[in-house]
Order: sequence, then structure tokens, then C-alpha cells
Amino acid sequence: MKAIFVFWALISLSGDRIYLTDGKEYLGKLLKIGDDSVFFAVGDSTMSFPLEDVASIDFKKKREGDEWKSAGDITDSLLLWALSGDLSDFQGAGYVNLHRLRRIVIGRDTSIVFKLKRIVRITGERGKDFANRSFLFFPEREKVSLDFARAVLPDSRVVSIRDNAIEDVSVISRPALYDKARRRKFAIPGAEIGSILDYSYTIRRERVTPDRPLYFDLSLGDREPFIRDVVEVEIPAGFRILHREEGLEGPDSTLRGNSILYRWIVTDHRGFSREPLMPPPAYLLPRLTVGMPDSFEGIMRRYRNLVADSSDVPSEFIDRFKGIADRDSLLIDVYTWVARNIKTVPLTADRFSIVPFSPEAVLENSFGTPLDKSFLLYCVLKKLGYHADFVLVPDRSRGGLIEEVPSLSQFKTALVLLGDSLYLYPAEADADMGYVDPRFQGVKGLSLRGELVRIPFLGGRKAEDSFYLKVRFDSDGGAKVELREEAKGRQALELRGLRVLSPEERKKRVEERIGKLFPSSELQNFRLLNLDDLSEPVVLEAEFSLGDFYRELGDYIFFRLPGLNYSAKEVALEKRRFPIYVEEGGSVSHRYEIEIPEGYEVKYFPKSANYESPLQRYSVVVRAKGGKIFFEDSAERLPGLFDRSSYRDFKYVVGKMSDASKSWIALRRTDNLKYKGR
Amino acid sequence: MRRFLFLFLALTSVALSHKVYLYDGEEFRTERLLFDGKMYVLDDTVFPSGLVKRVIFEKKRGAAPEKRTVKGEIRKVLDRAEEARRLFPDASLVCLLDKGVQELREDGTRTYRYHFQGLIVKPEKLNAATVLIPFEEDLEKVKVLLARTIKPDGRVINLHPEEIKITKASSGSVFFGREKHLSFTLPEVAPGDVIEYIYEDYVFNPWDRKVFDPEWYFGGEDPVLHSEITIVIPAEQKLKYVIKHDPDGKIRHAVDEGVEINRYFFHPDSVPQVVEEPLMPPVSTVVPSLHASNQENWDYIFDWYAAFQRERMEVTPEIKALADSLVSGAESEDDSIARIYHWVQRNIRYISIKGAAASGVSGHPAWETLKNGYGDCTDKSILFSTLLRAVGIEAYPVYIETNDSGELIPEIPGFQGNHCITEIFKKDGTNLFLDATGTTSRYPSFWSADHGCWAVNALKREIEKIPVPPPPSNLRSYCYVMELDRSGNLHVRYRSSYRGDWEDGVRWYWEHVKESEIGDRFREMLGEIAPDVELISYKLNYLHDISKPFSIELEYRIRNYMERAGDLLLLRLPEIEDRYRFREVSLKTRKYDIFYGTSAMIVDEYLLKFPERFKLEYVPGDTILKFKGDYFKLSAETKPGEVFYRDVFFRPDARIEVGDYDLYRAFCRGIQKSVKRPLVFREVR
Repeated sequence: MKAIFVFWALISLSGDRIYLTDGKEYLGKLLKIGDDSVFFAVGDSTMSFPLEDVASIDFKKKREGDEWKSAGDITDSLLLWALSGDLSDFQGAGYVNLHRLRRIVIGRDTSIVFKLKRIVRITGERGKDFANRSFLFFPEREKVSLDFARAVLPDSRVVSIRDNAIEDVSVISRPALYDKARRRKFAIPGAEIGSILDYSYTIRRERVTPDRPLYFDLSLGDREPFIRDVVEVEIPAGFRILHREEGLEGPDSTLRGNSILYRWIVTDHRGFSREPLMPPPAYLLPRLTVGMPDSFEGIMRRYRNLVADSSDVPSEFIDRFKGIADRDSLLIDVYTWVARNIKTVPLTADRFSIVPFSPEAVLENSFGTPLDKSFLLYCVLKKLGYHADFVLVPDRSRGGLIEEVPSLSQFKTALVLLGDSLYLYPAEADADMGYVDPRFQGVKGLSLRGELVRIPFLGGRKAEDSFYLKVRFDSDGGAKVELREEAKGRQALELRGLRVLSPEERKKRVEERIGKLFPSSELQNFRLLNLDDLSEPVVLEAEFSLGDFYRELGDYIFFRLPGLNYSAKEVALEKRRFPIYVEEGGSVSHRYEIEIPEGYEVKYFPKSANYESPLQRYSVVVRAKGGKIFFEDSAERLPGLFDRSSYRDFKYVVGKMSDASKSWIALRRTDNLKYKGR
Repeated sequence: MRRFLFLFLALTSVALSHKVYLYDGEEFRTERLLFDGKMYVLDDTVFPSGLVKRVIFEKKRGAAPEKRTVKGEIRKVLDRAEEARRLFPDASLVCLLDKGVQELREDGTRTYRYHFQGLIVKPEKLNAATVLIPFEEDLEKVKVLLARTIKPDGRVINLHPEEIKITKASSGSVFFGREKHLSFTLPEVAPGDVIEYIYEDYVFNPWDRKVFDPEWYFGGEDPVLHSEITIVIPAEQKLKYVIKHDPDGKIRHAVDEGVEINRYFFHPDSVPQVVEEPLMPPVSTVVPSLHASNQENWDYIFDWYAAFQRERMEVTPEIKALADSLVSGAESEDDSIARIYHWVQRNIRYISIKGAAASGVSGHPAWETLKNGYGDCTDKSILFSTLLRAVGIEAYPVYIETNDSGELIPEIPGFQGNHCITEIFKKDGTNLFLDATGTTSRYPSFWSADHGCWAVNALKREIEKIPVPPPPSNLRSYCYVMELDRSGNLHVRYRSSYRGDWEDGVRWYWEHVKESEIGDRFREMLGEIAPDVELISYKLNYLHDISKPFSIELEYRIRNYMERAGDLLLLRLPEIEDRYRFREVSLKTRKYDIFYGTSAMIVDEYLLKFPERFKLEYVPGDTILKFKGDYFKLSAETKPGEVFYRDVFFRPDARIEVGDYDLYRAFCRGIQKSVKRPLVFREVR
């Protein structure tokens, strides 16, 4: 690409923008607003507009560095340092993080000021997207400011952000009651290859509150290279904080007058490359957790106080379940009602609140976050005499519970524990009773009793998708197939979601689903069972024809098992850099019963086999008997974090699964009659 | 329990009060607003400049909206709900009433009033209870006249006015605008309830007071019991209108010409829901719709756009210098256009910042977009056109409605369109369209969502259909040179090349993959073919140079690729089945066309060499399949130790009409069957 050097005319651009009622707008500077007119400088001239012709005026906020026009004007020492860096070592990066400082200042009044400054250099085309930034805040308790956002271009010009490229938007707008969080998004100008982007923002919180204590869980480093990443925490002398480091050294601490400054730093982090089934960044990057001294017992004691006054359930609601004598049926009914009749607002506690709305409010609104719904379920079950507990849970994809820094802010939602082992999570309207979002499996949670409990992984038969197919040959290469699919866990969600559709919609979605699993199929009829019963697997029964099932070649017919399709994509790499992170376990099984057409015998079918690795098992049994071929397979994947050393066996098993799905079965004609189908 | 009907009364005119917004989030309303260059003086406060983020000047309105009362018609509403349950027993939500009144006043201001009643049947539709009404403060004022929940037993729960909030709904990271949302959630809504609201949007500062172009869609994803639109205009004006997608004439209409006003009324019988089908056209182009305008022809609108555009396309010395430097050494006119086209794409980042009508529709001046280094589709088109003009190439920004969103109605003059691209007239008299919005379109290709759309060229005063490029313009070409060894391992040299939208998308994808991950991504893709694949080498040609065609070269080895079936060994041509999935023909019957948006062409070539150890028993026979102008040709030639397979898929149609679906489906299924056939070998012992 040619380097283009452009001369700029001198244009006075203070950045104010005036919008007129006829749709025109001008960039310049507001000079005066009088009783009847507005005076506005555009370039070297002054324009005046009758007040009635002016719709609005936007103003450019004065920010640090706005007066800089070229690199020679810069007075920020960090930025000057960044400009001098040699990045030849970082080929192939989209951008290079030169410097990031996150500074947290805690006041004696428990106010918190969080300030972030970040400098990056764009080194590749894909790095340009870095210039679109945003951060989260809660306007009811926080004041924010974008201190500056600017770029030093390759030709040394400096450009600063315009205010019309800054906007605060809702994180979630529906329903209005939950519209509390905001995202400030901004677009830094000058995103060219070779540009340096430099921005800073500040979030001020007046004080910590019991439901939102001081707590920061920060990753250091990034997917792209990092030269220097710094976290500073300043606390008043006499205050104490807890901190935990993973993958980085403990802090330096310095006494500064009436405060103590803790400082952590990571330098020369090379970033990381993506690979299949890799752990989330929280597991890969150096991690720092900071909070106030506390204990889980203390946290839960205070939490119980927070929710104590709002746990009553209106008796009219309880009355609707009277008359159900069987306790199991009652449990299913209550669970199903909460899951289905309260619309889920998809917010975790950190995006809204760790304190749920009262059951009465949730019932009245018909909306609730997963936390609200779990709390409602818990309160109802308690009132109905069940032995239930309410368990706050962290997110496994963010690293799970940090026991060294107890804090209410660690928890993202809650489950209901029934008895000793049944966890209920009524967030999904179509999930089986007992299904828990994988983010909240395999973690430690905090029960209302104040105890840490371990939520197990769901797996095996609890998250199974099983297919039973009867296949009959048809003429001209086709087949008739009867299918029965039984699904639990995540697989059931998609099927149960069909229950709310009209018959016409449902038919189309089933046709598409069958078409996806069995290309070239023609659905004849189908039915769906247990759509409303969250205690049973959902069942799809279908009859369809396959227009293109087998091939004839001389005396032979050969075909592959329809719908059997395992990909080896996840094990395509020779070696791995990272452990294997399986977010959610599950199993899938197939049972085929294939009628051997008259006049044919089995010539070849795949062998039975059994393969195992720490995270993946696969077994296949094939036999021919009584004029039929029986093929049964089962593939189970276990959830969790697995050492890289298990990759080789895992790769082998998945490879065998892929081979199995590509297997052919061959039949040979035993008489002289060509197959004519039935 | 509230038994009375709560009324929201429209306010009578109040004294003007301007709005002042500060950076710290505070807002002030003030009748008095003065600024002397340093200090702002409001009714009862003063503050220095530097604190103020925005000032909105309230305008005197026309006649105040009349005081309106809404009669209690609860019984009627419940009866309607009953009828809806009968007619649409499986619906999750039924729109009982979808009623709009659009009124143009003498002074050019206009009012839009909307009345909605909906029966919520299933909890999945509870989100409908939250209403978000978009508005721009300096253009319009929205008032909620009625908002309530009606229970099945007739109880009414009214929305408390304090529950109405102003918010700004989430939008993408590259979109910035002045639009806000008036938001409320109707109270205590549960399945079985009817929600009802009426709001009025008074546009006191329309884009242009002379142009009034209402439109209305009579259906959507939920069934509609009753939909109607009334359009009111001053008596001296006439409304031009067209009804689309109503082949059975279900939309009834009436005109009432009065002394002071003319009233136009449209309503259909009940409208069933649109049930989504794969690759169907946008919903707005399949439901019955009304498009209207008070303009007899496009002249005024052409003038309006053209005035803004001319202003913005000033060739400044900087723009001239840039354009000259870009085309210096260009070998032809095409080369010049291509250089500028590529430069704008690569050097002007996409950020959409909407201000008033000027920037919202006609973009920012070319010099400003160049200085900013970013802009939206209109900004980029303006700059692109200006750069071309700077070197003597005739170019114009044109407005379109992209084919993935809706359709522009050329018979109805109005401010239509959601996108802006560029029309260029070459010296040989031909014209072409280019879209500089993205970053990876290689000249002369442009985004497929622009294909087949009507384009409004205000400066030339023309509306023309953008042609769908012929299939070779969208060619995807795949070439495999393969060698099978005695052990059944397959060595492959692969090359793919692309044109058109596909090239655009593939290049964009690989440009956004981290360089150190590219090899692994290819390995993952090859893992879909077979489990035991070794990637030997890869090359992305001209990845970052969009003036050159992008292609991919791979060399890989697949161990034990042949699939055994007894004595027979089967070899499936890698990846060919994936190219012809045709998920859009999975339904037995369709109601709607299949809409691709543009044409397609695929060429696959496989050359396989195999050792004497394997005897070729079967190779797919030559096949020709046709559907109208579309075709698929497959040929396989054999020589000793060698097979050359070639298929060509050619589809000039961007749309397959539903009446042809059965035939088209058979065509696609025939292709799927053809490409599934493996090569069959027998081991020679």
C-alpha cells in the first residue's frame, strides 16, 4: 500500500456541532446564544441563525491532550515511551499492548475509584477493531468519565475522540425494571496500521454496599502480546485487603503518606493462540483477585439478613398446588411452573444484583433473572415442606470459586439444592428438571447455611441424546427409516423449544432438523412426546424416506449409516499447548436395525470395538443376525479440565469415532434377482 | 383493584423549555437559555462552558393535540381475544389490534398515533409487555396516551406514569446515533392477559416538512386479527400509494376527500403469521404492505438529496492531491477506479455516526470523513464519489434498500433506503455499482446484499435496478491434485480461488485470524474430512492486497483415506458433499420463494492418480441436470491410473419462485445424489 501524505488546510475545529431544523449541520464553535439568535463560528467566518432554526448543539468536551496536533506536542511520558518502542519482535499480532495500568484507590469512606489507562499499537488489519471499545458501569451508583481517547498516527499526527463517537447504552432494555447496567462505548479515531491508541477512563463509586462489596478479579495479559500490564491498589493505612495471585508474583507494597500502595506487574507476556477445547482466558492468563477481609460464614450471615424480609410467598400462589398429594409429582409441578411461567431475564448477578427480588415481586412481574427464579423456587419448596437449600454459585468459565478471597461478588447466580444431591436450576423453560447450565457445574458454591458445597458435573445418562433407527431398503437406492430420538440435558432444549410453536412452524422446524441430520430425507410424519414434562426425556418419533441411501455396484450394495457423523475437527492438531477444557459433558448413542433385503447377505461391516481415554469413551457393537444388521454405538464425553497429556488418547478415540461414522457396510447378492425393494 | 379507566391526557401547549445536558449526567429544563461565550445562563442557574454536553432547543408546536378520551371497551377487547383464540389456537401471541394513524398537518409537522392490543398466550412472549419506542429528541416528542394490562376477568391494571423511562437500547459497537427509547413494561402481565397501549409521536422537526411518506406492514411473525392504517393529509394534497404483496386483494381501502382533510383508510382481513422458512426473502417483502407519499414524483426528493450531496462532494485540495496520488501510474480507467475503491475500503474505517438529517442521510462532507478516517456507508460513498470526481470520473452516491432487509418501492417517492453505495459512469458509456463500505471487496465486485436492488441516483435524477452479476462474477473454484499411494494414503495439493462476495467473505475471515493460528485453523477444517490428516504446507495468496485475487493453497496428506467395504475400497472426493448441502430444500413444501440474493457458480476439479494396486471399478457417470437457466454438469474421464472429475454448478437466479419449488428441489436433490457417489476401487492381488 502506498504511503499517502496529505496536506491539511488550516481548519478551526473546536468540535462543536450545530444541527438546524432543515437538516443541515455545521462543525465549528459556539460563540453566543442570544434571545433570538445563535452565533456560530465555522472556519474563519461567523454564522448566525435564528433561534427557531436551530434544533440542537453538541459540544466537544475538553480532554487531556486535545491541544496536541502532532507527536512533538505530546507531554505524556508514558505515551512518549510507547512511541519509541521497537516492535519488530511481534510479527503476526493484530495489535501489541504496550502498557496498561489499572489503578484502584479505596477511600477511608469506602469509596472506590477505578482508573484504567491503556496504550496499544495496531500492527495488523484485524487489530483495527481494537479501536471500538466499551466498559460497563451502573449509573445509579457510579460516575464515569472517558478521560481521553486519542491516536498518534503513523505520520505523527494526533487525533482525539469526538463526543459523537461516545455513547451510553443499556445492557438489557427488556424489561425496564432490569435496565440498570450501562455500557459506555466509544470509537477511537485514527485506527490505522502503525497507529498508537491511547485511552483512559475512570469509574467512581461512592461507597461499597453489602450486596456489592469491594472485589476485583482481573486477568493480566491478553490474547495479543503485552509489554507491560500493571495493577495498583491503594488503600488507607490501617485498612487490610486480601489478595490472591495465580501465575504472577505477589505485590510490591509502598507506604505513601496515609496510604499503602500495592503493585503487581506482568511484563513481556506473549499472548496466546486459540486451539479447540481450550480453557477460557481466566485459566490461561495471570490472574489477580483482590477483596476485603471476610469469611464465607460472615458473607452468608449478612446475605441471610438481606433476603430474610423478602422470602415470603403469597398464599394464593401456594394454594394452586394444593391437592397434589404425591410429593414427587408436586415437585415436578412446582419446578415446571417456575421454569415456564416466569420469563427469564438473561442477566447474571454482576450485571444486575446478587440480591433477588422477592417471590411476590417476581410473581407479579412474571419476569426474573435466573437468581430470582431460583430464589422463588427455593422459597416455594420450603413453604411446601421440602428440605431445600439455596446455593450461590460462581461461574466455572471464569475460574470458579476463589476461596482465599471470600466475597459475595464472586457469585453469579444460584441453584436450589434439594436433599443432598439434586440441584435445580429453573432458568431454562425447556431444560429437564435437574439440568444445570454447564457454567455452574463442577464448582464450589455457598449455601444459605454458610457451607461450601460442591456442585457435581452432570454427565453420562443425564445428558444423553439417543437415536434408534429402523432402516428398510427401498427401490432405486432409497430407504424408509423410522426414527426415535430421546434427548435429555442440552440436547432436549432444542426439541422442547418446539412446543411453543404452531403446528405449521413445528413441522417446518422438524423437517429442517431431520434434513440436517439426514440430508436428502423426506419427512412423512412425526410426533413429539413429553414436551411439557420436564421430568422425562423429550422424544421425537419420525418416519422419513431417504432418497439416496445405497449404491449398487454389480453384485454389491453398499451404504453408510444415516445420521452417524462424528467430526475429528477438535483433534486435528498434532500437539496441544493447553489443557483440554470440556465445558459440558454428554453422551450420544445410536442403535440401528437394518433389514437386509431379500437375496442379499452381509459381506462386510465394521468391527466391534471399545476405546477409552480420560475424557472420551467410545464403544461400538456390530452384528448380523436374523436377516438384520444391528449397529450400536455410544460416545461419552466427560466434562472438566484435563491435562494435555491425555490429548494423545483423546485424539485416538475421536479418530476412531470419525472412522466409524465413515464406515461402509457392503451386502452381496446371493441370487440372480436384482433388488426391487418392497 | 382499579375499576376506573385511567386516562393519560395529552398536554396542551406549554411554554417552551429547552433542555440542557451536562457531561456528568445532569439534565436541566429551562425557558431561558443564554450563552455569552463563557457562561450559560438558565432560569435559575449558571455554569461555565465545558460542562455542557448538549443543548436541545424546544420548538413552538402547531396546534396542540386534542384532549382525547379512551372509552372503556374492555368487553370488546375480551371478545376480540376470544375470537383470536378460536382463529389462532396455537399462537403464542396474537395481535388483536394493530392500528395506526398518520397525520400530516398544514405546517408540515406530523403525528403518528399507534394503538396496539395483544393477547399473550404463552410465557415465551412476555417480552412483548416491554415496549421500546424510538425517538430523537430534537425531532419529535412521544407521549404515552394509554398503557394497561387487561386480565381475563376484566380487571384493568394501568401503568403508572412514573414507570415510563427514557433509555437507550443496546446497539453494535460501531453505531452511534441520537436515537433514544421511551420504555415501559406493562404491569403484572401473565399468559392469558391482553396488553394494550396507545402512543403518539409528534414530529415537530421532520427531515423535510414537504415530504410525507408513510408506510405500513400488515403482518409479521405473529398472527394479526385486525390491522388498519389511516392516513390524513391536508385537502389540497393527494396521496400516491401502492399496496404490495397482496395477490388476493385482501387489503380493503377507502378514500374520504373532505374540505379540510383527505382521509385514506386501509385494512385487511386477519393476517396469518409468517412462518419462517430457510433462505426466505425478508419478512417485510412477503407480508402485505402499504407505501405512500404526498409527492407525485421524485423531483423534490431528488433536489433535497442532491443539495446535500453537492455540498458534501467538494473537491478540496487535499482530496485532489490524494486522488491524484492514488491514480498516478494507473493503466486504465478501470485501474483508476479500482485503486480509489480499494483505498477507501482499507483506509476509512466503518463507524456510523448519525446526527441530523444531513449526516443521517447524506453523510458528512468528504473532507471530514477523510480527516476522521472513519465513516458509515454514506460517508464512504460520498468520499469515494468525490475522489473519483477529482480525477474526472463521473460518480454518484445512490441510495438503496439492501435485499436482506426489504425493498425500495420506486413508484413511491420518499426517503427510502437503508444503505448508500456508488454508481460510476465510465467513459465508454457503461455504468457500474460499487460498495466501498466494507474492507475486502476486490474491484469490480461489491456486497451481494446490494444486488438486484433499486438505486436512487438523486444527482442524475434516475432510479435504476442494480443488476445481479452473472454467475462467473461469483465463481468459487476448487482444484485438487491427488495422488493415492499403495498404502491407501492420499496426498493432496489443493487450490481454491474466488470472486465476488465469496472472495470478500473468505478474505475477511482469514485476515481476522491470528497469523500464528492459521495453520491450526486449516488443520481443524481438514479434520472434518478425515481424522488422520497431516498439513504439509499452506499459503494465502494476496491476503492483504485486495487489488489481487485471493486464493488458498494447501498441501496435505490423509492417512488411510480409502474406506473399506469388504473387497471394495471407496474414495469420496474431499469436501464435495459439503458444497452442495442445499438445506433450503429440506422442506417438502414452501410458501415463500427461496432468496439467495445473488447468483452462484462453483467449479470443482479433482485429478486423482492411483497405483496399479487399485483397479477402478466405478466412477460416477456424466450427469447433466437443469432447472430453467441453472445447470449442474458432472463429468469424469478415466485413463490408466488416473481419473479426472469435474463438476460445474451454475445458477444465475438470485431468487427461486415458490411455484418452481418442486422442480428446483428435484434439481438440488439430483445434485446431492450425484456428488455423493464415491469412486470405487478393488484391490488387485
